[in-house]
Amino acid sequence: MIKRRSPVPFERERSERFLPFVIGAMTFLGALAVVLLFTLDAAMTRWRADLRDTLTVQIPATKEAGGERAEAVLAIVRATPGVANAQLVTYEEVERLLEPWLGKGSAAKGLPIPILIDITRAPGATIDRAATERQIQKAAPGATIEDHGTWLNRLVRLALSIQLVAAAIVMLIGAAAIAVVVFATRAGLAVHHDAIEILHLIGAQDAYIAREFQTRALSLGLRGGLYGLALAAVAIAVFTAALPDLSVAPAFRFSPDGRALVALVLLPVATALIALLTARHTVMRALGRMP
Amino acid sequence: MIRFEKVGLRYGERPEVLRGVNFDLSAGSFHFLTGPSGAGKSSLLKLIYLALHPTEGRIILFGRDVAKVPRRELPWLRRRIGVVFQNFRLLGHFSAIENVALPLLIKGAKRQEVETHVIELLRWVGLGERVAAYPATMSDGEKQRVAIARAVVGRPSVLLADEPTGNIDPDQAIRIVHLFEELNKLGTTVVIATHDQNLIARYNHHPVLHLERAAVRRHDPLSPVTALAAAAAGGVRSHD
Repeated sequence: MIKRRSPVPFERERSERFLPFVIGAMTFLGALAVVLLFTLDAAMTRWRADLRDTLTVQIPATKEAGGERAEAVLAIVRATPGVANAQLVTYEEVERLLEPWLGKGSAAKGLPIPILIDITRAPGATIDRAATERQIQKAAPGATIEDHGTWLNRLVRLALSIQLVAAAIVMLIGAAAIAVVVFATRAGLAVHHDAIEILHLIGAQDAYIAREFQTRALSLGLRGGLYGLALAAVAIAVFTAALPDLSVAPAFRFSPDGRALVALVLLPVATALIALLTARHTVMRALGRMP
Repeated sequence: MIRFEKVGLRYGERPEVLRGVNFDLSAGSFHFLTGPSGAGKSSLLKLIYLALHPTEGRIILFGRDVAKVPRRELPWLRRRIGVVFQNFRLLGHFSAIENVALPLLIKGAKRQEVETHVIELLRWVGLGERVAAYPATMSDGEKQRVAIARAVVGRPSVLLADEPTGNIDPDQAIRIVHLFEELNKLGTTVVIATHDQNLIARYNHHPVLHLERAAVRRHDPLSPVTALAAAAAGGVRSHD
């Protein structure tokens, strides 16, 4: 006969029905930002692993065959202290690297394609790039050495700044979610003022009244978080399928890794907890002003 | 049990509602609180049930100076005071049994444990057949009895009723005051605020606190004022 239900008649209130949708939209944006954060992090890790210890020698194409020049440069490079390995990049490999820009087939034929030599630095070793470059220029005029580390550092700085922006977006969304819950809770306190006052006067503790609001906020927050997550899952699936593997040597693949998936699953839980704590704090403060 | 020492109350910048009010209600007493409309009867009750703070003076409840009780302990004091509010103040989405059970549930009692007790109480106030009814479907008299059951379900030491007979017919009013007298016999201190002089005259064996011009005067049973009211109501009763 005595049903399990809240003494605060939340189900009669219309003003808070928007809350799951607003929180859902925020969770959706937050989820995309989180995926971007982790995707960039994974990409940076791959870039570092692939490129940190590599350099490339570029010998400009000439009318004469470049085989002798390449062999001479290769010999100099292999004899340079700090070099663990040096390999001539075959014409087929160069063609494959040019494929994203020139397309498949023999579009590269007839173009003055430079000869490339990939160098792997010995772990922890340093190579005097300027001195080596001077040496190889004697064997092949115009040859240059490109240190991928320098280029990688710039790329990592760019990725880090994008990550910072994504983190700021996540925090802004969190702050906006808190503001929305505060607003909705205050509206609820005003609408249910009578019920709250009755509970207060018959001896309910503030924590008892706050529990009614925080449970409600938890439920709405979780519902909103799940809406947002479902929408984000669809969006991520579409992006992953639609975006090609942007493999320009250092690969950037838009596909959330394990950490991103865990973060995504935790996002609705975090949203619900933010809603719960915000509602509790708002109600406790409001009740603190009652006699 | 309840002592007011030079208690004053004003709302904001408005004139004082109460000024230098002194009285002492002993445990197990039964008082009417009367006075003209707007005299401050409800405000005085609100001070007792801790819905307001006095702007001056001291209120001692159950031997404790209310101003010195930490806020977190006030709910425990409130639980010792049952209140029948002027407009019943029932929760509209709760049935009669749920409204009455509420004070026990907020104390942490389990629903199954309190159900039998609450049904018995509703029978005692004459609502045994209306336990599942919602306030919207009840008469004012029924709502009043639900409000009384809710006020007494926690076995309070003090029972306050603000115009409990204002919205009901005289027969029901008499039944309700009888309920209060029964509770009083069990040791509950009762204060009934009313401007109904007929009611006071009918029950003229109880002392009266008369509130007028922001001050309280106490009239013991069959003092001239009580007797006058009784005479006016045409029903003086003698008792020794």
